[in-house]
Amino acid sequence: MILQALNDYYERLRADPDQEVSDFGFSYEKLSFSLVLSEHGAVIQVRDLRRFEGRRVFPRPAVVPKLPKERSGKNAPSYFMWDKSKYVLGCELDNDGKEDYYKNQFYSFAEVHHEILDANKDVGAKALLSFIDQRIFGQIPEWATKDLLSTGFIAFELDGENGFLHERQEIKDSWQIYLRENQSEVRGQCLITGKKYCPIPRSHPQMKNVHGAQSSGAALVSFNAPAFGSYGKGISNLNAPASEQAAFAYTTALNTLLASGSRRKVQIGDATVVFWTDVPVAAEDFFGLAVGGKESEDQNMTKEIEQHLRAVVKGHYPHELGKRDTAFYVLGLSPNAARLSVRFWYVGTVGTMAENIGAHYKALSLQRSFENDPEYPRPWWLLKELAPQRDSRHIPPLLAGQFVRAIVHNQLYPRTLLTTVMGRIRADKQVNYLRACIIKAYLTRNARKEIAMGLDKENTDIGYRLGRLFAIVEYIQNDAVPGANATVRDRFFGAAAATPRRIFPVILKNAQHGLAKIRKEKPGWAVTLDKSLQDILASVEPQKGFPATMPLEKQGMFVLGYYHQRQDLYTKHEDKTEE
Amino acid sequence: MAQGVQLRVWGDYACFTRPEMKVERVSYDVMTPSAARGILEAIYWKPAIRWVIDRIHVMKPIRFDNVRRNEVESKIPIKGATGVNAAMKDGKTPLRLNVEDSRQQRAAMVLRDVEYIIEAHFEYTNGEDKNDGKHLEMFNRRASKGQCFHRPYLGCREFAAFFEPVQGQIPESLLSGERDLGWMLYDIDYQEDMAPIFFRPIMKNGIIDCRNHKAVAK
Repeated sequence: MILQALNDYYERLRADPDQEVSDFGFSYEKLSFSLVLSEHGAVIQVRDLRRFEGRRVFPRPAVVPKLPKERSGKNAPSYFMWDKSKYVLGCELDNDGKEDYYKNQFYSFAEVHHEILDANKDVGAKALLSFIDQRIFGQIPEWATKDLLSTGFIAFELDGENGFLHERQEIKDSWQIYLRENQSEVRGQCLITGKKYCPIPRSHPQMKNVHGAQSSGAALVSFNAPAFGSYGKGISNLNAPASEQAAFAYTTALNTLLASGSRRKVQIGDATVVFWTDVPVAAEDFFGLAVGGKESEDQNMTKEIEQHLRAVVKGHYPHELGKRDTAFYVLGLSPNAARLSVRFWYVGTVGTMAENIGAHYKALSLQRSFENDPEYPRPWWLLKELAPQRDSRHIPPLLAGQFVRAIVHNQLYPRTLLTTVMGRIRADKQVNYLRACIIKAYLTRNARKEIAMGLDKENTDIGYRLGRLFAIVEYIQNDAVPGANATVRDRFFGAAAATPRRIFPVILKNAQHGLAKIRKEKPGWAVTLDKSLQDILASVEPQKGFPATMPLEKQGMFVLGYYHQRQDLYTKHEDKTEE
Repeated sequence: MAQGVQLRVWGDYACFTRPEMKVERVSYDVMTPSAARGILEAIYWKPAIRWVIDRIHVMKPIRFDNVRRNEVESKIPIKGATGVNAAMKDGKTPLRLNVEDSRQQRAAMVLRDVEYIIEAHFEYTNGEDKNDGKHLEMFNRRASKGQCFHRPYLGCREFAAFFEPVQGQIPESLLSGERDLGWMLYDIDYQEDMAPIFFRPIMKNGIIDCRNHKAVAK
C-alpha cells in the first residue's frame, strides 16, 4: 500500500519530463570534490564542487552509479566512480586532524574498478585505472588538501572533457553489465509488484532528510536486530521480499519527496510528513501550507492559501486546487533509532482532503484576542502551545502525529490534546487565543458541544458559566487592586476549574471587597459588574450549588467561558486596556 | 458447503503486520487469510484436517491508532555456552536475556475496534479420520462454548480475539464500495523454505474473497 503507492509515484516521476529522478542503478548523491585526470591518470586539478553561503556549505548533488542496496559493515566495498578519500586514497583525517589509514578500503577501490573497467577500452576508463595503479598505500599525494581528506565524496573528470567521468556512455555501459551480473541470487515473489521469481536484495537504500534521523539515512524497511526476523530469515530484508527494481523505485521516490527544499514535505512536531498526488496540482501547495507551519515567503501565495482556507471552512471547494477526485496520499514518518516508523498514512482524494481540512479549521474558529492573531492557526503553532516553554523540541512525541492524523482523516482528536493543553494552562496560567482554539476544536469535535465564536450568554453549561464568573472576579480584582503581585488567576485558576466548590466561595467573597472599593470610585461600573455576577450565579442551580469537582471536558468549557468573557470585558470598553 | 463454518471475531485492537514494516509495525487494513486460519486453528484443529479461508467480511470501518511499546532486540541463542542447547544438555545453565541491555522502543500503527466474520471450510490432509459431521460439530460446539486450545488473537498475541459462531445469514457490513487493498500476505509456504505468498484482494462491500487464491497454501 505505502510502498506500492511510492512505486507508482516513481513511475509517474519517470514519465514526467520536468522531473529528474535517477535510473535504476543510479542515485542522487552530494559530491564535494572532483579530481581532473590526464589521460595517463595524473591529477591535473582538484576541483571544489561545494557552494558556500556564509558558514553553510552545500555539496553539489549529482547522479552517480550506486547499487540498489545499502553499503554496510566494516569492510564494505567501494562505490563505483566516486567515494570518500578513505577509499580513493586510503586515508582520512579524524576529528583532531590526525591521519587514519584504511587498507581494506584502499584496495577495495582498486578491486571494484578493475573488475568493472578492465575490459573497457574507453580513454576515461583507462585514465582512472592508471590513476588507481599509481596510488601507493600510506602515501598522500601533495595535491590532497585537508578538506579533501576529511569531508565529502570525490568524483572524477577527464582533462579537456565536459562532465564527470561516470557520465561517459562507455562507462555507463560497463556499469549496466555489472548491475545485471550482480543481481541478488535469492528469488521470490515481490510484495510491491506481486511479480514472481524476482531477485530480492538483502538490504534497501536508505532515506535521507527525515528530521531527527541519522544524517547518513534511515531505513523504512529493515530488520536490524535478531529479534525482528522471522521464519529463519535472519536480519536481512528477505523477511520482506521486495524486488531489486521495486526497492530502488520506492526509495528513490521517497527520497525525492524528502529532498531538502521539497515542497511536498512538511515538518509537524517530530513527524516528517510527505504528500503527493496522482497528477501535479495546486493542491500540493495548499496542503503544505494548511497543515504545515512555515509561512510561505511569497505573500501572494499566503494570501491565496488564506482564501482557499476561507472557502473550505465554508464547505466550498476551490476549483483552483485541481480536479476533485485526484488521488491524494499523505505519509507521516518519524525516526526511531536507525529506522523510520510510519506515523500515519492517508489515501484519499483532493476533494475529501479539502473537506477534512475545512472541517478542522471550522472546529478551531474562535473570536481573536488581538488583531494580529492568525485567523487560521496552523497545526505547528498550536502544537507549540502544548510544549513547556513553547519549545518545539518538547512537543510530546506521538501527539503531533496523532493530531495531524485526526485532521487529515477527519477523526476525533486525541484525548491527550485536551489533557496536555489543560496541563499547560495549569502550569503557566496563560489562557491565550491559540490554547482556547485547541480546547474549542476538541470540545466541538470530540464532545459534540455547540460552542459559539464569541461570548454566548445563553450557554448554561456549568463549566462555561463558572469560567465566565472567574473572568469577572479576576477583572474586579484587577480593577480594585491594580498590579497585585499574585492575581486571583495566578493563585486559583487551576483549582477553580477543577474544584469549584472549594474555591468559588472564597474568591467571590474577595470579589465583594473589590466591588466595594470600585463602588467608591465608579459606582455605575460597580453596579454593572455586580449585575453580571448575579446573572451568572442565578443559573447555578441553588440546590446543587457549585460542583465539587469538574471533569476535564467541563474544565475545558471553563477555560472557554473564561476566554470569551474576558474578550467581552476588554473589547466592549476600549478605554480599559489589558493589563 | 458441508464442511463450512462461519465465525465472528472481534476485539479492541488488532495488528496484521505487513512484512515490509514489521519492525516499526504497520498493520494491513484488514485481516489476512493466514491470521484467520490461525484463529480457527486455535479453536479446533486436528492433523487430519486443514482450514481453508473462503471469505472475510470486514464489519466495521477501518481505523488506525499509534502505540509505542518497549520490546527487546535480541533472542536467547540456540547454540553456544549460554544457549538453549547447552541448557537442555546439562539442565543447569540458566537461560536469560538482560532487558536493560537490549531494550528497544518500537512504534506500531495498529487497527482499532475491529470485527470480522470468517467464512471457511476444512479439507482433509490424508485418508484418515474422514468424518465431516464430527469435525464440523466439534468446531461449532467448541466455538459456541468459548473453548480454545490457545487464546485466538488478532494478528499479534497481545490483541486477544473474542469469538462466536454465526448462525444463518451473515449480516451486512458497514463498509460499501470497492477498495483495492494492494498486495497482501496470503500465507507462508512452509514447504518452500517458508517463502511468503502474496495475493491481491479487492474488497467489495466489505467482503474479501480469498477463494481464487487457495491453490498455493500447502
